[in-house]
Amino acid sequence: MLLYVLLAAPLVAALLTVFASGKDGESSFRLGLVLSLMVALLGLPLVTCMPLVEAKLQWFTLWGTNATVHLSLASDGLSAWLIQLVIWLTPIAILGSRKLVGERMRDFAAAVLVMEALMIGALLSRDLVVFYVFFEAMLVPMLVLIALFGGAERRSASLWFFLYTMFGSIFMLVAIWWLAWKTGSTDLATVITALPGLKQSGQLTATGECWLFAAFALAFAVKVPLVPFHSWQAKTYSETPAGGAVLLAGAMAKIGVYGFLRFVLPMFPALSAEYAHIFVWLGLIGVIGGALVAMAQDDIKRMIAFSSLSHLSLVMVGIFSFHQAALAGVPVQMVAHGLSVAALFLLVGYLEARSSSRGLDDFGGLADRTPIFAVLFVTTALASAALPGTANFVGEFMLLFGTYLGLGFTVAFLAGLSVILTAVYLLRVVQRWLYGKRHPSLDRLPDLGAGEILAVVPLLLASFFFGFYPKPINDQAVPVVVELSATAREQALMLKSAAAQAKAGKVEAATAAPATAVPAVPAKAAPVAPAPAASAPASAAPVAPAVSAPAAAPSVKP
Amino acid sequence: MKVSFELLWLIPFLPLLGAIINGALSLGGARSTYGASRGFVSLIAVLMPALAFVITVIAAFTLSGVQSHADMKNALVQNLWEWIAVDVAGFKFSVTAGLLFDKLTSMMLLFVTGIGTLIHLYSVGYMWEDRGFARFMAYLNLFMFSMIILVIGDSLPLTFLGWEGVGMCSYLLIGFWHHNNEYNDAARKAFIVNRIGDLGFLLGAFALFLVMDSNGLGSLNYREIAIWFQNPAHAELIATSSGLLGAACVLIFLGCTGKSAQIPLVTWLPDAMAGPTPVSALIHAATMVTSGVYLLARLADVFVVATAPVFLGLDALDIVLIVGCMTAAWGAIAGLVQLDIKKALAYSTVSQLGFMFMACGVGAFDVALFHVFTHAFFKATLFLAAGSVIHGLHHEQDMRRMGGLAKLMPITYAWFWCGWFAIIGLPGGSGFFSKDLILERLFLGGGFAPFIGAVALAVALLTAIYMTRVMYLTFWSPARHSDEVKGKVHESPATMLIPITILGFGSLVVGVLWSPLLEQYGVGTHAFESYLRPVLGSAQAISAKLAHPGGHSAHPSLWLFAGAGIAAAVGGLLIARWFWHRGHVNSSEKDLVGFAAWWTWGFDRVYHALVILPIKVVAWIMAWIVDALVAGAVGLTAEVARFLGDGYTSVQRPRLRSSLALSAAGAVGLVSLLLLSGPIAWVVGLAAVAVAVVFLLLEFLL
Repeated sequence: MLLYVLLAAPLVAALLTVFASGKDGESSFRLGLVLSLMVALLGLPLVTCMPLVEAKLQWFTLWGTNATVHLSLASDGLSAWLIQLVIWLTPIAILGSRKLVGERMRDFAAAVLVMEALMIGALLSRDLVVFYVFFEAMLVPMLVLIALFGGAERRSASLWFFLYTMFGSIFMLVAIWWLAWKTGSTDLATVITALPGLKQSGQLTATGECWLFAAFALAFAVKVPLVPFHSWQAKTYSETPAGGAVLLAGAMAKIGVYGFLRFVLPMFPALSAEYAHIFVWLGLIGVIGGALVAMAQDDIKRMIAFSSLSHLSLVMVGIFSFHQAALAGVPVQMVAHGLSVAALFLLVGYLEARSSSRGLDDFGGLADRTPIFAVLFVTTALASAALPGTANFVGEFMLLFGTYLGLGFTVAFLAGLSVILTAVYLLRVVQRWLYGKRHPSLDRLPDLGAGEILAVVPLLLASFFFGFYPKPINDQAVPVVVELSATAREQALMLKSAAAQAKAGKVEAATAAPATAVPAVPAKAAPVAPAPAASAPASAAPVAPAVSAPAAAPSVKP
Repeated sequence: MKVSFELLWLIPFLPLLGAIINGALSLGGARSTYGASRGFVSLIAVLMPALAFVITVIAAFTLSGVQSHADMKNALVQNLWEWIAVDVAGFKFSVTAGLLFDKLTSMMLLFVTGIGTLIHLYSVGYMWEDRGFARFMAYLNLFMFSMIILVIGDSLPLTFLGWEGVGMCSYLLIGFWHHNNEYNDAARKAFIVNRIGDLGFLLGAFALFLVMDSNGLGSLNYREIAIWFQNPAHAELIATSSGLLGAACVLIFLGCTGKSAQIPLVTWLPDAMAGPTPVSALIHAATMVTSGVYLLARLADVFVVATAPVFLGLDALDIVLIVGCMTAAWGAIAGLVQLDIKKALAYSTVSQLGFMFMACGVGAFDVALFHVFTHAFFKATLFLAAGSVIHGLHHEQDMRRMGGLAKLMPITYAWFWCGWFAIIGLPGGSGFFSKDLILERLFLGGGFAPFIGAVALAVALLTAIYMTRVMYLTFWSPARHSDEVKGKVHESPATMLIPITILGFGSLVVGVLWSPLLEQYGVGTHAFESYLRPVLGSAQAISAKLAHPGGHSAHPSLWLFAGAGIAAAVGGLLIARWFWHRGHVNSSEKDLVGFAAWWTWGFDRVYHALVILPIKVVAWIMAWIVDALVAGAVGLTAEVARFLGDGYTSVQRPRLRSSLALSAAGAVGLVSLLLLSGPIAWVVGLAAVAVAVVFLLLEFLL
């Protein structure tokens, strides 16, 4: 029952805010804040009593198939912690938007609460169609937020955001429909168990499976975003009001990563393993490229957008390394990034609300003028740069560790360059904004008020708490992540040992006949294997035991 | 034998508490005109490190009380909580927030908290007039916390917590006077250069884990690392993964070069002198910059078995030895041509750190730590006395406008003299003992170590020259003060002079802790060496065996090395006297300014050309591409929307076409990036080299 209540509560809260509050911004601010806090308290037990599965409610029969869609909700460690992110960021978004939104708080709070409900729905649903509905519907309140409260270019940004993400997930709808048609069910667990049968009976060809895989991967890659599909991000982030950006960057982007873990890896383990190197390379381009582009930005919201791209790409690299250590870093990194990016957006939003500018050169010497802002900004920047003691460090450490153990030195080194580059672009803005000569035009800039401070401080405290004590997240979410990716990981290990054997055979052949065959680049641990090998594991090499040392130990001489 | 000691957590916690209290006071008083009560702030700021020092002393006595001959590796431990732990699907990894207090930690902590407390006291006097007094004290306390975590943490990740923490505090303190953008640049540079080393630290730690994981015992805990590498049964595993082990050691050493300002990551330290002088004394001379040496000593068991050649036939410790030697020479030559008194001392620190790494390079970790210990005393003395000079001269740092201060500031002069006496290695001073030990170990080392020893002796001569030059220019030569300060030169307040006195006295006498002279009085010979033997003994035995496989080589008389060291010191003194005793700098030093710039900024220029500029250009180009792509794509969307709305007629064909072309170009670019392998990689690599050469030429020709 709890999950249904949790799903409905923000919607009820949104209705209450709309109808019960007066026209003035203040009353709807208070109501929205109190109601969202109540929702958050309601959702808190999720982290203690889990896993939780609700009775399914029959909904409708999908057109053209004999599959019945059920409203099936369930919570486990991964969902629970991402939901915590959603439900606690919502009151913070409302609290931090008071000055920026002002009298129009009623619309703002309602949109934020609706978005909260839809994100909770997406994270809880275990039915493909239901998930899709929530996943798409999330766009609508976001669009409202951007269109009503966005920056100067909000029209084109909202259009762009909507069309791009819509385009990304439309193929997923087709794929879901096809799966429902073939398997007669839209239940996630049923589909996962039915897929191998479809392949064996020939109803699903290797090419067809690739298309399905691509459709799902595309939808989530746009959401994360992964590199070639990132171009909506900077524009949208920079035009979104700070409170909306808190939810957009802090929580909604995580649902893209969540989609990979919940749907792509369990449904298509063989293909995920086979094409893992593509995701790793795209991730690496995102990690380094995102950081480099962030260095060249003068608009700080755009800088945060590219920084976000860089950090979430690192998560993708970690996931597709399939190493347990990296997978162990995924949940805590998602939470950590949610906290720090939300704090960054809030702080930039505060300045924007005061002076309606956010450029690199628009401020200077703020450390004197607004010391509280300065302290919070420096702390947040250092947390984003993964200083040890913050949750970001725990996540980044485990991700890099797993990347090293799973994919070798080169990939870990390239991914680790973000450690340096992140410091470069964050300290650049810290220096320009906070230090140096004070701009005379800023002499009347007021420091942060109590509400604004209260919105940021919990984020930083949580980041420190999980930085020193990530155990609650690790204990509950990591086993789920590892289990969801278990089959894909087995496949990846199989491919790796097969590649190692092929390499050994090649070396033998090379010693027999003097041929100078150069082995493949070790970073690409999984050269594209013939599709039958994946569908018929018996013919593949014996499954390598789950050793942590990679088959091709990196013998790099720096 | 591990003994639980329940008070250990207080050692890092107390300074952290001080940082929190003072930080809150600073923030709370930020709006008022005067700030928080200075008396209370100073009380908290000095009391917390002092209490930490007291607990350290108690812990050290407890530790020496624990005697069990079966296991020499006595340690006090306290496990606080499980920090990062993974135990899934057959992979087990765990880091506890655990504190390890063994002889090595105890030695480091005693001087970190002891000297730290004194410098806090000094700062009270030095910074009293500054508006940001409470903020400064909060940062200093936070630094103490991080530094204590660095040496008391029982695993590499926990040390890394302190490692980055001290880097952050260093960043905040170098840029403390943040109205000056040059200072801010220096702070940022220090942080980013350190981060490069930190990446090496992390990757090295991962590689080390991988080596130990070859039989499933992977760990990053120091005790487990030591046990694993001391286990004779693991010799074969070490041999099979020797390449990886060598890489791990070099990567970790890269981290050390960042924190301890060695070549190639050396250039941040001289710039770091932008910070207030107590910061230079505490962070950039006595404690933080020596943490690289600490880390090498902590991992001594690993480094001595990493004997596989890593690069040009050199193993990890050879690289340490050569890097240390190069840095020592570079720093000494740079120190010779400085005009700023703090910069001269900074290059001297770089050079002395090179000495410490040279000692590590021949496996003499205890000698290296002894030099860390004595250096902490005499360099802190020199910096604090220099700070007193700067304070007395109203923020004058240029030695060309000093001179004659021996009479004007007699107390400061007396203690600066002690520091000078110690650093140049005149007999009796602490530097005499530690530096001669390094020379001795170098000359007795295997391989090419004796050649390095010869260079080190020359560097010792240079040390005497540049330090005596500083003495002449500052104290001994006739006064050349600028008009503003003439007649206003004053001696510093007691809060500044008391710490200098204690440290100056220490820099004269602490050398006896490792002195054969005391043997006959029964005080216990080589007290320092035997103190550290439980931690370092086994590693040093291995390295000694490697250096002289045939047993002990001929051991020349110690007086030979002592004589050489004294000769270098006296020789340098005389040479310096010949050049500078009149204090003539304006004429003869003019040429030196150009040389100094060329010599010291060479690294900066190379890095600027090879790293910073290309990164900026690439970032700019990428940002441009991204903008163009987005612009094209947005245009495309608008077109699509208009097309859907108004029908085909309103499509502006050229704009659509250009948008499509841009998107396609982007896609092609990405695909070709993905296909970068084989011969294409060679072409790209060569092109990159060519671009680098062009950048380098541009940098130096224009």
